[in-house]
Parts: sequence; C-alpha cells; structure tokens
Amino acid sequence: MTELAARTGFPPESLRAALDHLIRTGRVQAQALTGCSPDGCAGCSLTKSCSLSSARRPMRLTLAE
Amino acid sequence: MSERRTALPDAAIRESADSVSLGAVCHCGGVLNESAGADAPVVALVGAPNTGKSTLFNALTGARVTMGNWPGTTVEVSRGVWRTTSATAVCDCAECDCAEKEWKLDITLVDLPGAYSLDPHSPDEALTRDLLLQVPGDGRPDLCVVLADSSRLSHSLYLVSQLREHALKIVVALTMNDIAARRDVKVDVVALERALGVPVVAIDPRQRKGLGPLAEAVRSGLAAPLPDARPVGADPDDPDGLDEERFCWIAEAVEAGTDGHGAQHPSFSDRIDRWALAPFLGPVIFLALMWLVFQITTTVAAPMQDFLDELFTGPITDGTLALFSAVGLSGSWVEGLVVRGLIAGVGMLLTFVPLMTLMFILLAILEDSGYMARAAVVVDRMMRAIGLPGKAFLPLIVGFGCNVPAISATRILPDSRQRVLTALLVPFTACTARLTVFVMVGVTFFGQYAGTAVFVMYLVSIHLVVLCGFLLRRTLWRDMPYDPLVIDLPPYQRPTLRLTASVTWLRLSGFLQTAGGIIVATVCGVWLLQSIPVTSDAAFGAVDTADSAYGVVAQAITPVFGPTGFASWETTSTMVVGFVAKEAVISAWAQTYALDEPAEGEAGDLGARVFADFNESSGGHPYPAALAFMVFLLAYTPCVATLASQWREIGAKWTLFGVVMQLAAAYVLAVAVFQVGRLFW
Repeated sequence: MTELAARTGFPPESLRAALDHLIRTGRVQAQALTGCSPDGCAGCSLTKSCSLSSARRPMRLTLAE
Repeated sequence: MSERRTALPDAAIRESADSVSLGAVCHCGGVLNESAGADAPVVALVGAPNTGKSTLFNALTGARVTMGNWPGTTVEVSRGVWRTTSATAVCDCAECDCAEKEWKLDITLVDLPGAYSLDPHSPDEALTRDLLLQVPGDGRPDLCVVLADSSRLSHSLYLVSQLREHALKIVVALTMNDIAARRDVKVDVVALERALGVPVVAIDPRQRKGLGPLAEAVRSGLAAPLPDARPVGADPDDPDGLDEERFCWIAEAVEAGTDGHGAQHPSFSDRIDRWALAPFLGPVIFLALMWLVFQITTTVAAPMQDFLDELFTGPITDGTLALFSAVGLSGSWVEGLVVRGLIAGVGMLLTFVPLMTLMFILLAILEDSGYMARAAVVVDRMMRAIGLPGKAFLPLIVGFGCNVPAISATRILPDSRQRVLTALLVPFTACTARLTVFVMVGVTFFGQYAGTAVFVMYLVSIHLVVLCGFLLRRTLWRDMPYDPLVIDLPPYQRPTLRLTASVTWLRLSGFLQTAGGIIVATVCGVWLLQSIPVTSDAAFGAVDTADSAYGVVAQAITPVFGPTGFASWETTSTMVVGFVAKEAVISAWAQTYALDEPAEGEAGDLGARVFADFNESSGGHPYPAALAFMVFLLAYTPCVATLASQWREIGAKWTLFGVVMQLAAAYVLAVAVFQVGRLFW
C-alpha cells in the first residue's frame, strides 16, 4: 500500500478507499493468501507483516478479466 | 477538530420568494411559520452503511415514524417528521421592537437504504439511486443530507462526488468524529466545506450533538437556489476515467479538509478483532454469543409469556365469563366469540411481546456495539454454502427459539433478496413451540429414546434449512451475485440506552400494528369453525368438535394423509390448530378426545389414545407414522404469527409462496419417512 501510494501520489486513506471501491464493483478481485510460496520466506516480500495465524492475512489483488 | 463553521446567511431564508413553506415575507409583526403535510419539504438521509443514518433518523424523528417497504419492492424505507425550530430576528427594522420569533418547519425525513455509490449492486442501492436521480424533478427530495464517516472520509466522499455531479442540494453531516479524534485525524470543517462546495456539519447522533447546526444548515439549504453541478471532464461512458477523476477530487478534498492521516498504532477495535475475527476463536465467541441470545430470548421471556398466558386464560377469561353470566349470556355464541376468539387471539398476540422485546433489544445492542459486522465475517464462509451472507446466521439461530422474532431479525440483512430468502428458510427451524409436541410424541412412542427422537428432529431441521436454501438459491435467485464480502467494520462502541430503546419500540410497535390484526382474526376464524354445527342439531357455539365445521373439514382432508400413516381426523385436526399455534396442538388433541392434557414430559391417557389411533391408521406401523407426524409438524407452517411476521417483512406474495413450499415439503417428507420406515419397523 505504501508503495502504491508513493507511485500514484494518492494519500493512503484515499488509496484504500479507491481499492475498496474497485473490489466492490468487481473490477479488482481480492483473495486472501492462505499459503506460502514454495520457495519459503526468504524471497517473500511479506515476511515482516505475514502472520498465518492472524485474522488479517495478506491479500492478493488482481484485475478482473 | 475545528468546530467553527461558516453559517449560510439567514438572509437566504428571508429573501427566498420561492420557498412558500418557509413563509419568508418580512413584516414587523413577524410571522410564525409552520409547515406540515403535503407542502412540507422532503429531506433524504443518504450514505454508506454503518455511517449512522438510522441513528440520526431516530434522533431527529423520535416516534414520528412510519416504516415499511417501498411500494412494489421489499426494500424498507422509513419516513418520519423532523420538527425544526429556528429563533431568528424576522426583520432588521431599527424602529420597532421585533424580538426573535420562532420559525417552525416540519420536514418529511426519508431514511434511504445504505448505498456506497449511485452505481447500484443491490435492489437497495438501486432504489436509492432511483429516488435521488430517476424520478421526475417533483418526486425527488428537496435536499439530501449525506452522512460521512470522519474516521474514513475518503470512503464516504465517493457518494458525495457522484451527487455533486447533479444539481442537487446537499448537506454533508460528519459522524464518528470521536473515532477520528482517537485516530489523530483532525477535520477542518470550514476547509472541507470550501473543498466540497457544500455545507458541512459535524454531528454525533448517538449523543444528539450538532443536531441544531444541522437543522440550520438544512433550512438554509432548502431556501437557497439549486447549486450548479460539479463539472466532470471525463467521458461519462468511461467508468475508469470517471473513477479516477472522482478519487482525485476526493483526495484533494481530504488533503484540504483534514490534518493528520490517522495513527498507525492498533486501535481498541483492532485489538478486540484479533480475537473476535480469529480463525478458531472467532467462531467460538460467535457461537457463545448466539447461545446467549438464544437462551435469553427463550429462558428469560418464558416466565413472562407464561404469566401473560395465565393472565388471559385465568383472571381475564374468568372475569369475562362471570360478566356474561351476570347479563344472562352465559353459554351464548357471543360469549364464545369474545372468550375463545377475541380474548384468546389478543392473549396469543401479547404473549409474543416479551419475546419480541427481548429479541429486538439484543439485536439493537449487537448492531449498535459494532459486533454484528464481525459476526457476518465469521460465519460468512459457512453461509455461502447456501448462498446467504454471514449475517443470515443470526435470524436462523433465533428461529430455534421462536420463528416470529427470527423473521423480524432478517431486517439486519442489507439486501432485500437475502431478506426474502432468509425469511423463507426461518420457518424450517425447529422452534420451542414445536418442541413441546416433539417431547410428547417422543415420550409416547419412543420411551427412553425420546431424547434421541427429538434430537433427530433438530438435525432434520438443519438439513431442511440447508437443502431448501441451496435449492432456492439455484432456482429463484440464480442471478443473485455471490458478492465478495467487502464490509466496513465499524469501530466498537458502547450501545446507548436511548437508541436501543428507540429502535426496540419502533420495531415492536410495527410488529403489533401489522401482525396483531392477522393473529386475532385467525383465532376468531378457528373458533367460528368449531362453533358452526354441520352434522348435528346442536345450537351454534354448543356443538361437539366432531360435528362442527372444524371437525367436518378435518375429516374431509384426512384421506389426503393416508400415505403418511397418521390419517385419523383427531390427528389431522391438530394440524389445523397447529397452523394457528403449535402451542395449542396438545390441548386441541386432548379436547378432541375429551381428555385432560398430560403433564409436561409425560404421555398420560392422551398418549395411550394417540398411540392406539396411530397404530390403527398406519396399519400396525405406529413408529414410522409418529416420525412422519413429527417431520410434518416440523416442516409445515409454524404458526399464524410467523405468517403475519413474514407478511410484514416480505409481502403477501412471498408469504403465500412460503406456505405452499412448506406444505409441499412437509407432505413429501412425511410420506417418504412413513413409506420407507414401515419397510423396516
């Protein structure tokens, strides 16, 4: 999110609102990540914030087809 | 947070020549202006879910509310009267002594369904859009109050950005300001007003703060001319371009109007959610709370219901009988109509009041506290199996106590299609009234295995709900989209007593108004059938049940139940009574056999007669017949009070559909259970 905000110039809160809007309208699909990369944590950029036991899992956002 | 705001000049009120309702002609004597009725301005409350619209609506209108479905839809829209008063100097004459006069203005306030945007994804959002934009000019509200969550301003301003693209009078009301303050978000109301181009007022509807300035802003807005629409540079047919432009506008407004982007440290709500939304603990917490709701609505309400029942069947009935005896009408049909019709009907209706009151109180507390949204997340995956959102679990679990408040509980569902589907499934939940009959039949036929038989009925109930939900979802609501659960979790808040009481009273009075007539009329109808002699010379009201219209009808429909194994008119007649109220099944059975009701949990003489009848009607297979009877009792219409509640919530068409569906399911299942069961038992 921080990187997206930096690239787009949007304030983080407005960016989050925009993403929620795109998910709600179906233009972006959100999936909670429930597993890890087969390469392990070493190459994963989410290492610091990842917690599979946490209620808030990392989300994968993809453009809808 | 800045609380200073720039008030629009009161001259706008005095000088408006078009606002007849404001009576803005200035005379030294002053004009006490009062507006009401058809000429009253209409103000719509608009906003995303969980921004406090209903709380504000209740605070502004009090008891002056009518609630109901919008014509032709199952979408609920509330209307009320907002009485505003403004004390202003009516003129600026230097010579006269014009004291401040009260300007009263009654406004028709309409609480529209929650909507994130004007691009609808549900019937509720479609109705909001239609009422704001699609109807001809005269039918639109005169002004919109858009509620925006200060702690998540960007999320709320998308709707404002769309409304600003039309020439609509708008006032933005900022809520959740205490939450924003805790997150170090400071809102500059003046700067935000300048950026948005519309009046902005900070309010706290739960504490009833800021309502005066809101009224001032609305009155000023009503008097002002229509504003110009916000120019839009993007192509209207390019949704991505439109969204980009809107969010740029929103970002600029938020940057200008707020100071601080919110602290990153976890909030109080975040800390609780670590447990409330945890994969394992979350469902445990949820089930524990649901068990508590279930226990309270049945256990706490039960003594009150018993008291009311005894009051009506005891002193009130005895007193009425004595009165009729004193005037020489003892044993007359008038006495029968009053005692066994009206008093019985009103008594039945009022016995639901403790149950409904408790249910509405608990619902209001769960909603106001913010936990309801968490419950929806926790059970969402399980409910998706039958195409329902997580929130639908609450009405279904309440249905195991009583179906009547469970139907009313479907109001918490945001989508009207989900409310209809859930309201159709609730009657399949085994309520406690059915339990009394299950226990009696279980003890009669299965002895020490009675508990197992009753438990099986609850399993059948759960399977029925899941199966019917699945089938309905795949047939009638095939096009209802499987929306991803994108939900704004409101912060946890302490429920307020005033709001809880207000919401509870609104819902309870609505139920009594609508359901009361239906229940009393139906009970009177059953009495009438039991009083009309058909096959004997007895007088009206003094006929044996078997010779009455009631008995004749029961005997006429009995052959239909041949394949179910319980085709005796004494048993099928209880189905007619059970249609009115399941609590009356055992007493009706006893009345039919002219026996005393058995003690609770015992079969007694009644059980022996019932067993004998079942043995005869089933051709020597009483046990499958008993199971078939219990399944039929489980699946068909719970009671007339449930029908009344359904009628109110989902309309006549869906209620009748539900009756037919339940009867069909009950009959098919009962036949199947008996025909298969008698092969083995």
